[in-house]
Amino acid sequence: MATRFELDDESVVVVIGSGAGGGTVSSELCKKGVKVVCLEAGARLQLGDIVNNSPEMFGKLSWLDYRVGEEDAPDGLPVWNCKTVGGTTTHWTACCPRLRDYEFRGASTYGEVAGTNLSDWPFPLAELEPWYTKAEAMLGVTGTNDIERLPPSNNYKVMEAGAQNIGYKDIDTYNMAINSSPRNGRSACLQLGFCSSGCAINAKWTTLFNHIPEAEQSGNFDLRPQSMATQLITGLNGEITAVEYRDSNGSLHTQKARAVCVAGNVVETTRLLLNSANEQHPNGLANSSDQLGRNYMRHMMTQIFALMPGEVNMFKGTQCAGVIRDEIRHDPSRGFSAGFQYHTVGLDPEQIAKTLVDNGWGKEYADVMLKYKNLAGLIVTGEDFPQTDNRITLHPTQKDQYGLPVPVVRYKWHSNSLAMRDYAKQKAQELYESLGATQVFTIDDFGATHNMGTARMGLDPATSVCNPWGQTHDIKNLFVSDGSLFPTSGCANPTLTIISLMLRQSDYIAGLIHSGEM
Amino acid sequence: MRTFNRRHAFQLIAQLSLYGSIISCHRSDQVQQEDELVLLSGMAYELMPYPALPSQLYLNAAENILARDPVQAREGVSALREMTGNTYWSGLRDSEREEIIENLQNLPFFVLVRTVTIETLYREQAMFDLLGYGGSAIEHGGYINRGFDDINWLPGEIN
Repeated sequence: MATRFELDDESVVVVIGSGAGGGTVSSELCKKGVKVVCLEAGARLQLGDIVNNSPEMFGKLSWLDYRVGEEDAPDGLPVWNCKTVGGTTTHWTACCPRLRDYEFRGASTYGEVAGTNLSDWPFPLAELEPWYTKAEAMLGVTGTNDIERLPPSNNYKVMEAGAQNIGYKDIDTYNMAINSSPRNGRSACLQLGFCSSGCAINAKWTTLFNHIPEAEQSGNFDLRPQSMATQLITGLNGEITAVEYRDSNGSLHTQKARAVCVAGNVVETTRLLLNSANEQHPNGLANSSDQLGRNYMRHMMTQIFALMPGEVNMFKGTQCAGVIRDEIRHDPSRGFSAGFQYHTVGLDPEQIAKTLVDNGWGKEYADVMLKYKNLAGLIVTGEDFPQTDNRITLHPTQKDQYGLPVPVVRYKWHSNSLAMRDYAKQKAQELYESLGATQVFTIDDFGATHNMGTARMGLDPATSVCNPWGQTHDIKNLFVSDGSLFPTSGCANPTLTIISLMLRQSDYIAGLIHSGEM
Repeated sequence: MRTFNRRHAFQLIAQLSLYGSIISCHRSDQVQQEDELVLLSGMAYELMPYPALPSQLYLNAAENILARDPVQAREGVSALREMTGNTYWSGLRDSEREEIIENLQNLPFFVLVRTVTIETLYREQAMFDLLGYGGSAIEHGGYINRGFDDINWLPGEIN
């Protein structure tokens, strides 16, 4: 029988979201004896609900409620994150690099870059290293903990051969949270090729089938799916006392709380805090710095596909198990600051047909599609810099089905990102042409799957939203528990860093609770 | 057939949405209007031509387009009828069809037809077979033993 806490139980910590942030902080707190109510907007899927069908899973997993996109953020779906128990860890492709030392010290490393709001992390890489190590062991990241890396697929072999031709050396099948052999109750990878549609055999790590069941086993975990948090309620002393939410019938409930961890991914975390504005906090909760929602980063990302002289069949195998690391460094001689990585990517025919050429059509286009088997592909992920006006705000008039203001996601590419992108595209083209590619395509505009920065950590409450623990400066019992915390984006896929931060944050929160401070 | 430019196409669609069926009523003395499914499936084929696929799939696409956004679809059909005049779609020259589509390029109607056509065609087993795409893999044990790493044309020892 599932654990259920009372709505007026003031001793629970309420966690909003059940993904990399919410799922981890929930599970860790539960294991340390803390009672947790987890409100997840989406439904809870079983393993049997995960099928090898990309459009069907897109519909089941994704956050599809309309969001306004402005400037370079696509309207409608500016952000591709998930609305389901497990959050975006159901959809992610499981790449697990660590951020580098220089990326933690962004402002110091890159200096003054016009038009940016760069800041260093409030602690160095060394502080997070033990947590990275713990997270890698927990997830079973290949290339760490004596776990063998995944075997190389055709798409990987193409990228590796081309990379070596143009002088790259740091290439392998990447650090992946995908089992190469059975481990910790999860299967070994069968190279299904549907990673981003959910792993149907639980070879890829997700909170849904790992942290969530672990939390439930503790007896301290009350998971409420299809529960959309609408507002945080504060008491006379300014601290959070309760969370209002709507259930699947649309009925409003109020859950009391001793503390709240907001882990809704950048859009929902920002929206909830802004929407909870009251007389004491007219600009939104925890927003005395006016930085909430600002400094939104989503990585410089571009995809490159090439028609090769022979079959590649990129659909046969893990979508992203392959990396080139040589460009992960700060080297202004290349014409831009900060660095980027390449990793393999595979897409199915429908995705290719939709996006390979923007609104492409006609006989020539159809004929390219007929050579789908010969396509090889990679995706570039580069550091992008926080800009004050890249931000998430509330629409002044438009409301959604919950009665909440629709989020507005504004993002404009910085000139540094554009210079980096041009360089990376040029190199990728050389890579594929060195092997005889006859045509090279690039896909630049797509919903962002890496979203960071809108409630950043810092030492100074005037320029940051949270302290080094992710505790908001303004409200002692309010925490941000997702990628909104990042002061810089680095070029690493963010999930491993989010999980590591949450392993550390849950230690801190449990400490406050057990010492009686909260 | 008249020559159209994009500005004309925009105006046409705007006019039609304003005046609705009034214009079509005035054409009762013309030959029978081409069926909307035929027009939509003709445009769908123009966008994504695969002669190897059964033509039924393009009619399916047309039905799906009408179902997805009936208002947008019918406005678009009216625009197509205006642009084709008395000539049926199949009676046009290739270059004429191409010109019509170019004038509609990137407009919401074009995006609707393109998106739904792709979604219709690319979810069919016939298309999977045409492309050599394997579809769902779990029931076959994935690709670990079915060629995920069998590339044989790379130079050197990578193969």
